[in-house]
Amino acid sequence: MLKEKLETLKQEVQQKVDKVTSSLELSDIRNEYLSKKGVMSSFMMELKNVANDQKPIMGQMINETKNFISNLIDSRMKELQDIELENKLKEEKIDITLSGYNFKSASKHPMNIVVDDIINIFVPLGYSVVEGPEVETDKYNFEYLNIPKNHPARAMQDTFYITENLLLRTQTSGLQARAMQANTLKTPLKIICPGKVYRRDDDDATHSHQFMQIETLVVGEHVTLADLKGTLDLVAKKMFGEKREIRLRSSYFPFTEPSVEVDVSCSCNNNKTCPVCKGTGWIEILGAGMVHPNVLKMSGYDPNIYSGFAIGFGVDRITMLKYGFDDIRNLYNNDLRVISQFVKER
Amino acid sequence: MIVSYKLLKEYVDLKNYSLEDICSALTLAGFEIEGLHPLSSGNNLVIGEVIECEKHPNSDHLHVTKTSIGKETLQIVCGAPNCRKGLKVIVALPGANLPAKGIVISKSEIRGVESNGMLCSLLELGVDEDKLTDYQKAGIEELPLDAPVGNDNPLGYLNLDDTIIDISITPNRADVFGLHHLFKEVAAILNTKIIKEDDFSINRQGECKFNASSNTSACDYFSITYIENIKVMPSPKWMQDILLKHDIKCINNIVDIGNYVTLMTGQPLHMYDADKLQSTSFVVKDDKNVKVLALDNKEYQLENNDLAVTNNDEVVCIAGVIGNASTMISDSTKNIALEAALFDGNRIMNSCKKYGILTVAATNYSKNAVDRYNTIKASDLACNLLVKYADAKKVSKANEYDKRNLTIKHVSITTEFINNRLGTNYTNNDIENVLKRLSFDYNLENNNFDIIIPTYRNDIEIKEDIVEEVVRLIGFDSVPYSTCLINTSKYGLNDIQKARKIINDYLLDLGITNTLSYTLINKEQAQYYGVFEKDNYIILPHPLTVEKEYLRQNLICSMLNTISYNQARGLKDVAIYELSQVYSNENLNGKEKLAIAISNNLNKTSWLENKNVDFYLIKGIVEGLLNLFGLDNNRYRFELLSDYYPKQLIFHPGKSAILKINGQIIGYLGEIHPTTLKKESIDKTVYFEMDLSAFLSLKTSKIKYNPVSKFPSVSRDIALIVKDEIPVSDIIKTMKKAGGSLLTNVDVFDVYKGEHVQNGYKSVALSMTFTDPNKTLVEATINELFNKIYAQCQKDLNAIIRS
Repeated sequence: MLKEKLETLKQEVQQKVDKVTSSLELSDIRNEYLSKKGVMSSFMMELKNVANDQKPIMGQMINETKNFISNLIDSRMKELQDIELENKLKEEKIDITLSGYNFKSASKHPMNIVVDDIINIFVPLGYSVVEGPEVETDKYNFEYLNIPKNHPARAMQDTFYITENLLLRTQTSGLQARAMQANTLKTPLKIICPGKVYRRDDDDATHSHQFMQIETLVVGEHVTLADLKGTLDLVAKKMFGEKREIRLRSSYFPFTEPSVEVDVSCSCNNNKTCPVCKGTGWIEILGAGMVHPNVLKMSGYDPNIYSGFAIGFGVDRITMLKYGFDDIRNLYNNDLRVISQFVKER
Repeated sequence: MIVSYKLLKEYVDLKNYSLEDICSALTLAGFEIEGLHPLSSGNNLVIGEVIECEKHPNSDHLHVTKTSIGKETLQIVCGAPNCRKGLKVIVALPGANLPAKGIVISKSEIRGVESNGMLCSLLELGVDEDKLTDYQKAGIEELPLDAPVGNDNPLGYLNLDDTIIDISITPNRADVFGLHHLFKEVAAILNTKIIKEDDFSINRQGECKFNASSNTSACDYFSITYIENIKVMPSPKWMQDILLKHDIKCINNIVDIGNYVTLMTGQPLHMYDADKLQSTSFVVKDDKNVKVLALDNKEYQLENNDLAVTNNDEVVCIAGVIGNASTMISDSTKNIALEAALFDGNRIMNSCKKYGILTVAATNYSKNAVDRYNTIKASDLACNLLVKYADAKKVSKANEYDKRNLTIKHVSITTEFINNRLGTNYTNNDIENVLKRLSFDYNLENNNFDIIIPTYRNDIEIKEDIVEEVVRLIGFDSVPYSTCLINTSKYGLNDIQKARKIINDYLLDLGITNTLSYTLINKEQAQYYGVFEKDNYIILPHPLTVEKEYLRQNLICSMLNTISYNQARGLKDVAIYELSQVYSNENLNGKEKLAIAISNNLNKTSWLENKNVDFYLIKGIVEGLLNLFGLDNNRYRFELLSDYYPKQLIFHPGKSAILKINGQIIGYLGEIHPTTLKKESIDKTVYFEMDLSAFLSLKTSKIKYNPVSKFPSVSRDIALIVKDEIPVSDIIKTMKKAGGSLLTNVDVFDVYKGEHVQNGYKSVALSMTFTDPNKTLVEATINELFNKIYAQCQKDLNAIIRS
């Protein structure tokens, strides 16, 4: 009797389980049959009323049925959960082409990039970085650089004077004298001095009343023009590429003698219509020279013992050449559409 | 300066050099070529004569000509209004290339009439239109009636077959303003010869009737020569050609000769109509306070220190600048007084600046272009030319006032010294070659060169100047590349420079762009944004424009301008920072400032919902920065900005703070005031600026490892209702005071105002973390602490626990 009943029950459950479509419904079925108050429990209750000798056999039959139902539900449950999870994940599908959260780093201003590049070339060569005031005295900006009052070279640099003796520095070269004077032990010097400078120029495509320079100064015994040439060659190759050459041209600065203008070879391969070198094959990048003995003397270095060289980088010009700017004003308007192009040059 | 290529070739043997070679050699040796300007251009040209000129049958302005070019006669159609029979003209033959107008001539038919060339205007031949009259520009060029028909070099016939070379002269080499010196320089650079010299010979007869003297040290030489019976007429064509090519106007033979001599020697001259002079005595003075009508028909007010040549105490010439109208050379001049003098260049320059005039004479004096030793030679050359081209009958001896202290300059140098400076291996022979090229006389004894410097080389004083001469003439290619081997004990970046690098990296990685802006701002900006500054602005007394008159003391104005510039161009989200020195009258050495500004959104992901910038964004960035430099939050405080600056309009008064570190105000931050946003036309913006110099001079503590407790921490939350005006920082401080060392952290996780909280109050939910480094905390201890903390909050803050 019981056996048939259990068999019927199995079939009944089997049918229900087959029909079921969600894990939730299946949980209800599990409750109906397997919970404490469920169908299987009621069988167990009835077992109390059965003769003792029959109990083990019938108990085993009930348990077997219970296990059968339990397995049946479990395996179906797993099936359904798998399907349901699969469906859920399908529903959760996103458009992976949309952009991620914005973690983009920003860019340094291109002129600051060039300044740091140049510093990074010189520092491993044993140079230290020296800075000084933009509001400068006439003495440091001119007189200590062998440019006395009424010197024709003063006309080369129209100056923003604040008072008779105070001005906005027209060049970072003043730091030569500052550094030499500050070095009271008169030991050798190797310095690089970046900074803003100012001249009374109307702003146009090639002029700016504010711009940036980097002064480099080496003072020691037996420093030669060949040392300057070697240093310039190294810098040009690191700044513009290993294939670049340099060329020195005679020039004039009151604080160097001899003085040179330095050209770097153009990358255009002798293109006669090249807009950068104008077909000459050479691009003027900076001025340099051997420190004038008067400059050494005025700052306490004996020119009979010491010699030196100085280099003046025009950061604006190098930035324009390196990255192809054609209007210097674009270096100062802080258009983020421009600056953001330099993110990888940090 | 400019020089005619043809003239250069006349004086210097350049037959083995192309113009390109010359330019390249000059450029390398310190005379940079700025440009080459051909006077004309075109080929396949010939001089012709219009022998017939008829109206074109199908046009009301064209002519059909028969033009003879000597060996044949061509039919040429011409549209020029001045085309007529009998004209001598320039004919461009078929095949001619006229690059100035991009024309290539070919046989063609013009409105049905055959045309075999073109009759040219000088404009079509590339002549600078400034050098042409309106008549010349409107039609074809009319050659002189004796022009040789068939001549196939009409540009040469017109002396237009030349190129003007524009050379940039460095301030030390103004001596080459005198073309004779330039010619010598070119010959030295190219290692070639001078092939022509001007004739300086003159037979001076008798004493000069004039007497020269000076009352001022600013004139130490003044010579005057009396020249009789001259004839005023046009100067010879060759001289006019030279003057015109060098941008000097031709007046008459007398004036032109003076200008020619100055052009060639650099020495300014002045000529007076001797019969208009009141006295025979010339005195140079610098104390005349009078108005002078100069020969340019303008009046100049002379004052003390302006140099004047006087005659009978009347100013007859503004010395070294411009002559007086009353004694100028005119068509009727018969006798002249010729001045060749030396004036102090600085005085002349100062006077010129005042007058707003700059003549060739003034330029040469002020730029030190004059050979002080050979002033009289210029006078000689002028006299020679006056005899030749003005029929001067008698030239007197010069009367000279001469207080010059002339010594011949010597420089003594060894080849070893030169090689030591250059790192080269030149021999004595190499050096001798250079000196010979430069025409420097020298004695070589015991390897020592005693060099005599030519009088016109005002630039050479010391050994290093000779080193430069040697290397620029031998060429910089001869200098080897070497490495500078000097060792320095200290190198690299200092602490401030390193700190700057850390700040750059931090802000760039947050997505904030580095900018670089102008130091100079205008008055209105300086005043508006100066409310936080105690110092006085540095103001330029002579600014270029009023827009750039004040040195900024802070960066706000520039930063907001940058935002405005970008937002006006459609870029809404702007996040920028700048590091810059600022200056004031009280702080001339400057201090460095760091400014950060963020408008609208930082790191927006556009398709997601983004929170607009607010105070806490900028505060968080600041706190992150402080944390990066190891500043514990017990060393800094944020205090309400409006407590310090109750009236400012830059920051939102309720959403801005000052940053105090160790009790010192280091910076300010907050949301920009709506009034300022509107003024700058920018969107909602948060801003921070600090005195980086002060910040970086603060000492930060060394890192010491702090062991982490092995025992678990326990968290308890509490929600307190307090009056709205009580800052959360006070609650945390109170809790920490009561909690002691076991209360290791307090975090705010909610601040709520509104429903269920009484008006004027807020609910603050905090999470407390308790940690004991030595044992596991038991429930009883925590409860005890919790109650103690709550009690303290009740007592100090009237806080009530929220149920």
